[in-house]
Amino acid sequence: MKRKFQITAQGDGAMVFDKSRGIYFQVNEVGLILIKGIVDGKSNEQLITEIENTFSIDHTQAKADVSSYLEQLHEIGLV
Amino acid sequence: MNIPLFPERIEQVPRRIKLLTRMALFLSAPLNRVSPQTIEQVLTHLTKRLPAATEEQVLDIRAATCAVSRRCRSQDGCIRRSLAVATATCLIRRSVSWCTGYAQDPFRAHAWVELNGKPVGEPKEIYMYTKTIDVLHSSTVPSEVQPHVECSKEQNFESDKPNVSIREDESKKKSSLNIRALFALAKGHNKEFVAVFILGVISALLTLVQPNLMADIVEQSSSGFTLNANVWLLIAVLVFSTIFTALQYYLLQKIGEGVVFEARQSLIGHIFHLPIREFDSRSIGDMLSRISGDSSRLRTALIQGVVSLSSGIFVVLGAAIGMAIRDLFLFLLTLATVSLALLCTMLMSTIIQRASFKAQKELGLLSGLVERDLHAIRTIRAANATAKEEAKAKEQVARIRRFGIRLAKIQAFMTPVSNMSLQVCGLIVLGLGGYRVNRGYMSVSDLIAFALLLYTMIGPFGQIFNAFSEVGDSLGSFSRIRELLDLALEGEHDVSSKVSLGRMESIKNTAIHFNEVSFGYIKPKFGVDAVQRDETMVLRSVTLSAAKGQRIAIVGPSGAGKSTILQLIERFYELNSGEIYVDGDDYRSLSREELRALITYVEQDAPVISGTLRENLLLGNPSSTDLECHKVLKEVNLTHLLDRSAMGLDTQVGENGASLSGGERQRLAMARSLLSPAKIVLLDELTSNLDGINEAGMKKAVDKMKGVKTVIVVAHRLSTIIDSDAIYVLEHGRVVGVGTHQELLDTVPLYRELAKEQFLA
Repeated sequence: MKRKFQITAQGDGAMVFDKSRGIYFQVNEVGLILIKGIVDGKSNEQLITEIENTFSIDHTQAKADVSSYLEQLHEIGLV
Repeated sequence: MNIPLFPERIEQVPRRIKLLTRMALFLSAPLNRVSPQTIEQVLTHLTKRLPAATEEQVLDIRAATCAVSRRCRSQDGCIRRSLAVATATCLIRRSVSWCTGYAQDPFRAHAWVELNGKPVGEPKEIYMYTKTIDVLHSSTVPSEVQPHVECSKEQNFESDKPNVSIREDESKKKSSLNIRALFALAKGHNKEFVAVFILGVISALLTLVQPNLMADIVEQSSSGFTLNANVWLLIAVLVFSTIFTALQYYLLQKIGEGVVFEARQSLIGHIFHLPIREFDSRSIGDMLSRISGDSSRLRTALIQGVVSLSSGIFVVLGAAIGMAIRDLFLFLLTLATVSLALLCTMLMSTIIQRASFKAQKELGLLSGLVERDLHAIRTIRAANATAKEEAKAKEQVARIRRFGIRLAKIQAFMTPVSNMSLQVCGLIVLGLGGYRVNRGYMSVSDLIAFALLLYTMIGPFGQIFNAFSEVGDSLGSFSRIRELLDLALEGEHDVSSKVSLGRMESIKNTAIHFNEVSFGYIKPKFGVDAVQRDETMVLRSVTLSAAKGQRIAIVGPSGAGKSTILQLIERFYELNSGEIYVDGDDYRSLSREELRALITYVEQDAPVISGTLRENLLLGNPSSTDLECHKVLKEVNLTHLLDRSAMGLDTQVGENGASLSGGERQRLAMARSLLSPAKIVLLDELTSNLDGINEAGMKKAVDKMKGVKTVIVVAHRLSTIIDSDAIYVLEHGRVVGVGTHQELLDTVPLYRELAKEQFLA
């Protein structure tokens, strides 16, 4: 993650402010876990495990969700 | 399209400010096109060394920006406007905080400027915003600014921690002031400094001559000792050197006293004008320790510093040159040893400065603790809490001891380091010097002169080493003094009468008028929703009015906000919203002094200052005559105080009025207010400690003011206020009823209940 973000937790999710572009993004709980994980330098596998454990879902589902989310982040230029 | 969500008024501002803002708009234009991250970096760089602007300056600049640029007048122009204001402030060599944030439902972003955490020129809706960027201005006090930024809620990722890093810089700045700032305190003593410097140079020269004279005497004494000219010269040099050094020390002590005097004067001047809010949150004892203990330490640093910088350095340099001339090789070896020791000392000095700051801080806490306990000693004894409070104070003493020992450890290490280096030098000189004499590289007289020069250098060198330690210690104290002096004063961010303030025609005949006033003791937080914010409010949309010459009363249960209303009239605190009008004018158009000259205020606990009856009575009106004093004492039934002692009005009332009863203190406070020429009288629970007879007497005194003075009474006892022109009933910070006693009995259940409890219904 090259950009600089300010993340403000709110409710179950967070507001992410991309300082490099001046754009706000609102993310839900899953998004917050994933963005924090990416910032902390966690690998895809670690992210999948975290989602799996936090939401008690099976590995395949977690993998698909993480992959889809990362794709979305990529599309909007967050990663 | 420009949406004027926050409509901007075009104010009349001087042309030079308009010109300044035009320039700022031009210069800040590129910032409108870059990322917030870049703006943050640029503004941080620009503002980091500039002192904070005043609210008046920022308001003027903001008004000028809106006047010259149409695009800056709307919500959409907030970035352009705030950047222009921040840039224009930089152009006048001042700084302001630049902030940006967002609010939700509906989502919108905004940019604005702040001073000391308070948005400038923004509507109250600003507190709905959550800050995402806050480029703090240089004199922002971190502890004050940050309550709204909750660390648990916000996180900066990667290395972008501008807020955090600036705050760290700020706190570092507070505990690491440099020696130049310390010497700046002695600005008014230039002549003395020049004299000290000259005396230092002369003393140094006289000291340096001594080894050479001694070497000559040794050489001449090979044929037997005689009292020749060199001996007499040496004696004269010794005598004059002592005289000049004594003079130098006297002047330095004088400068030191001057610096302590000025520091104390500044501190006292500053403390007396701090906002009341500071006294709510700070320990009085800690403030006192800064005036007494910390300021005394400045003297030590100056004396040690100046001595080592003037004569000390000259002696060291002169001796070094002399040693180099006598034997370069031996000198280089000595220099290497001493340089290594000096480096260690300088490093340790920085550590000492930090440790001293902490130790002084702990000492301040102890002063605060003891001061608080001694103030309430009767309550502590009565509550059987003596042992507990004693233990608390002793625990703090133990903490100070621990900090003191930590400091002593570092300081103790410094002396052996310097001693060891000098001993090593001595050994090198004697050992290697002896060897070099044997080998014929130097003469015996050269070795004696070298050794003497080395020992001449030891004293000043020791002084320089000590100076590092002492200066580090004093800088810790100086930081604590500066910390207090950096706090904004009560009126520093006031909106002056230059900015147009409203005058409501409908209330021009009122003495006091509250218009939708809301207030909370806790500063509003950003990003907090309206419901949460409302919970911290002490007063909520209070509207009340007192016509000139009227007596109005404020009643209600404890904690309803009654006393707060009186404190707001005195402008001890700033409103969150609404306006207060005094004599028909917005009270912000008056200076604090002008406002308070119109009012006399008798506080709930009726404080009495230590001293005489006269001093207490004349506090509000120093020009009152003895006759007037006797008259008011009679009015409040206190003439018996005059009979207690032959001293009359000069009778001592004891520490905080300890020789007076609670009722007597209240009556003395009332007597003081009767002497005051002010037309508005605020009385807070005036009769709470009085018996029936004295209560009636006080009521009579208040009744006499009717038609002459406007009286606002806060009361629990309804019997004292039932004949007021209007009674306001307050509950949870809201006015729940207003009218006469009879009207309220009929219409307001809470008032009826209060009256019933007191057998008045």
